[in-house]
Amino acid sequence: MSKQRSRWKLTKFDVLIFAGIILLFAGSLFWTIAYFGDSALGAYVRVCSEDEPAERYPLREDREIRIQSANGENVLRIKDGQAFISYADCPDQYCVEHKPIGKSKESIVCLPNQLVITIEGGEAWELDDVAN
Amino acid sequence: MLRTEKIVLCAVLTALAAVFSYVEALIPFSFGIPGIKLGLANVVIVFALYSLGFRFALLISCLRILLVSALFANMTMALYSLAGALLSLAVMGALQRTGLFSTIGVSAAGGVFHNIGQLIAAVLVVETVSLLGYLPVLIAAGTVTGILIGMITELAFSHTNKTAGQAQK
Amino acid sequence: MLWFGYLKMNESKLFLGKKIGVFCFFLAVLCILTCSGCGKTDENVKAEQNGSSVSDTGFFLDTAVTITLYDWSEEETIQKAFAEIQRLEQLLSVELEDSEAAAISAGAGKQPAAVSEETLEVVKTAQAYAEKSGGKFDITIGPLISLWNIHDGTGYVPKAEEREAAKALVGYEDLTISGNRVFLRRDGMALNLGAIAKGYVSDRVKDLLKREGVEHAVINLGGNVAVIGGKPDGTPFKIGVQDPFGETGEIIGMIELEDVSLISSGNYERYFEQDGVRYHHILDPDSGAPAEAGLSAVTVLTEKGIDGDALSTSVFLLGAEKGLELVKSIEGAEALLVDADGTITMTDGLKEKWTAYE
Repeated sequence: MSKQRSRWKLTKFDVLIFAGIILLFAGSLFWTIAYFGDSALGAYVRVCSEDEPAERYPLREDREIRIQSANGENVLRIKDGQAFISYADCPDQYCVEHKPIGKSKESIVCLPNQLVITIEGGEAWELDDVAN
Repeated sequence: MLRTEKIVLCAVLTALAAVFSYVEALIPFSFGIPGIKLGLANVVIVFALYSLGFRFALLISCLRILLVSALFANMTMALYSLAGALLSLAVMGALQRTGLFSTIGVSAAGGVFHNIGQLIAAVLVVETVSLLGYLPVLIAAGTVTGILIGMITELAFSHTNKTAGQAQK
Repeated sequence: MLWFGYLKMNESKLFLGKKIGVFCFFLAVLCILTCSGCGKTDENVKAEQNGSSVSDTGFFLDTAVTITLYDWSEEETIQKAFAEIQRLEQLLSVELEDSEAAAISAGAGKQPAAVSEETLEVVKTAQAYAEKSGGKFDITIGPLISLWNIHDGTGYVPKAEEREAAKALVGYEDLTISGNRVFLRRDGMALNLGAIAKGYVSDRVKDLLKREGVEHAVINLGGNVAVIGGKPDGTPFKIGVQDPFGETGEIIGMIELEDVSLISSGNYERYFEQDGVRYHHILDPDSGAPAEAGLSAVTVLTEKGIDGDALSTSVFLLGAEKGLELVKSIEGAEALLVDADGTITMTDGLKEKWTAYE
């Protein structure tokens, strides 16, 4: 019986367990932030241009990014948590006419310049894709 | 406790654990974060650890996963469950053996390592290190569920025949 | 049962413990082995893993192709699909000079071209839709497409006589099929499979992915969406429908899909503007000009992409009344029509899957 009572009550040694857990938690949190940086904390714009490695820009910082490739030139703007193409040197201009995007997995494609802009992380998109 | 009693209790607990898993699949006690759940079946495992000992708890744990995955889940999920259950039980077994800690403390550690085990399995299966970003959330969640499970287990002890609780050691 | 027998015979606690340990090990192995064979009942066990997915975009068929595989981790599978798309593009694209479609055009008025099974299937299906649509859907539209040149944004409005000359070279009755040979009877005729090829390719990609074991996927070929299964959590995929009057990406509503294709045709897709008039890319073989049947957009839901692709174009050309008749004549097909002033009409079967926005 005595054993049972001591189990029900927390023992002083339990402090060790909880200290261990807190240590693990702090360690993993520290590692996560160090490893993932901003991407663990917010949404990113992923810019994928033909034959170049993808680059990521945080969605919360307003900025203008010039994307130059062998195919042509586009200008990506990030403003108020949304991304859109403000300029393209292609003839059709469809990417410029695309609405600003800001939710996870939304994307804009510039066909002539073979450019794909995708949102990663952040607020979930209610859709899986769009038929157009 | 007699050996026969142990075997009977083991069988009953296995069935109970399987039923808990099933009930939880039907009505998930969700915390609003994907992949996180209470894991009621672990009450049975902790209970078994204290009443029947480590080896029986291990047996029940394996049997439960076998039953549940054969009935409702797929292979990847069975693998995740197994990894979580084994790591969790190993940690709880070791902590319980020292006799220094309370059920709640042991169970809290078990909850944390259950999630860590699952995550490690997931990282190995999916081959994506970025899943480890879930670690802090899973550790926190594991602590909470572990404490809850420890408390439920204690409640279960106080409501069952005392011999079940005292038999081991 | 055997094991309980062992228990009775061996009193030694240590030995009993060992037995349990060994038994557990075998159970674990057995568990993994047996579970690979058993089916999943997704409804009971909701996505325990938080949905790992892989996605990639490639540029084929003069469009962007995005494939997303859910509950899947092998990026390589997408590359296999891309390779298949590339293979089919080599057969079907008129942009590529050595394609079979180009060979058919090159032999116009001269000699038939022997084609693969794949090309033959596409041409045959196209001819069936030409019949069904009373000649509105026509893959011999090539001369008109080259004339208007709408697809890359450099088009202009051709003169009336240019248009008449090109129109005279269009006519699906002059395309004959014998065995695996396809022949355009008159010199100057040209094939264009643009209104059907993407739908066909999406079917082939779906087949390939299913053979690879994929159970949940979204395939987007330049706006033509095909899905395999539903989402891993058991709910259907939610696919937006483009607002023909809005910016690209703005939607009028959402359709829930499982295992089908959703294909839209509209005057907003590819076009140029001259003197304030918008000239879009869906050309009517009867007028020789962009279709004016009173519709802004047509979205068609079908089991097979090839049907959806041909059907959406046919309906857009036929207009609401005849178009809906055609849709109803095809089993399993559903359609959503947006007319010139934005009014939405849809078939009954679509209503339960549809959610309007705003």
